Amino acid sequence: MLIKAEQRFAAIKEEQLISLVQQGDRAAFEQLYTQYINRVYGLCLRLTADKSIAEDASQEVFVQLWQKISNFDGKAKFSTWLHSVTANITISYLRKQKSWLQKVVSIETQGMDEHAIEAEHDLNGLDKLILRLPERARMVFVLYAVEGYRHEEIATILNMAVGSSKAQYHRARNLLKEWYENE
Amino acid sequence: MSNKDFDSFLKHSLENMPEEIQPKKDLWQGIDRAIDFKVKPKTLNHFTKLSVVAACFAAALLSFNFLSTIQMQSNDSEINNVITMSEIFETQKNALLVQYQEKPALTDDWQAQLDDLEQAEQAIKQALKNEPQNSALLRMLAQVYRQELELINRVHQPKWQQI
Repeated sequence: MLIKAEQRFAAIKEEQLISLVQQGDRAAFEQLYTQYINRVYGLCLRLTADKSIAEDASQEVFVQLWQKISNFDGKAKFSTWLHSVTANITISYLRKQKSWLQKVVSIETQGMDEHAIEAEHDLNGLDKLILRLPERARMVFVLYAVEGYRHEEIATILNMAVGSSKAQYHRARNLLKEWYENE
Repeated sequence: MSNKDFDSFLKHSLENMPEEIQPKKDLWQGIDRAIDFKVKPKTLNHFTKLSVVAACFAAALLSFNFLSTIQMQSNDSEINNVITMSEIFETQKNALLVQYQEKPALTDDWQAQLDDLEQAEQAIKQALKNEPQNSALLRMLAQVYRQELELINRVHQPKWQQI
């Protein structure tokens, strides 16, 4: 199915593809999925440090994309818009996943199976270290250093003060430095 | 190692960080089904709508009661042992299974997935018998419990956030 979609849309431009999706063309949407799933999943995985949540969040991004793509007006680049949508949905999804059980046992929300993720995705260097960061520090670091958001934007997305965003970034940076130097 | 080494490592890593990471699982099928599922509510008849409202109300009531219980217990003492956590989980899980017993699941293999999670749960509980205060094991157990509840909810009542 995906291969057929790929062949059918091989020659058309992205804006035409998006226009077809906006008109409800399911095959065009499959093609859009093929083009962007790895970028979406990459961001989800870095933000969540959890393979299972990253998969679920990626699926949710595309389900919402299908429903809300009419909101894309073409003023920004589609990839930029999609990254922003992905970040918002993933963070919102992650918040929902913080179960009451974790609160009950006072669990520090930290990347839990980073070694398994590393092995499965063949990650290296900085990505490995990012997965070890505590949740808030990780999200701020990914949004600021990897995705290029400003602290003011991050503060809005993560519902925190601008100062907290800066503090979390420095915390992340210090931890990364410490781990890098001890390796 | 000096500051300079770390700074250059960071700079180089960020500049060369691959934007794409390929998921190991095929995610398209789930998306495809979810899109179909989202279309269906438009065709619901009046009776079905009432049933959905009633089910949501029951779920909300159950959650409220449950959270109230947790709150009261938390005030009495710190709940961090495996027995209490398991009892709370079992109550919640059974309530969900009863609530959804008449409702078709979104996927066919969810019970097999639940079996896998239950096996993991049993293995962790076994390990906790020797080390009941082991926080890593407690964390793993909580994670498995969370995944079981998520799975039951997800396959019966998917909810999507707004962009």
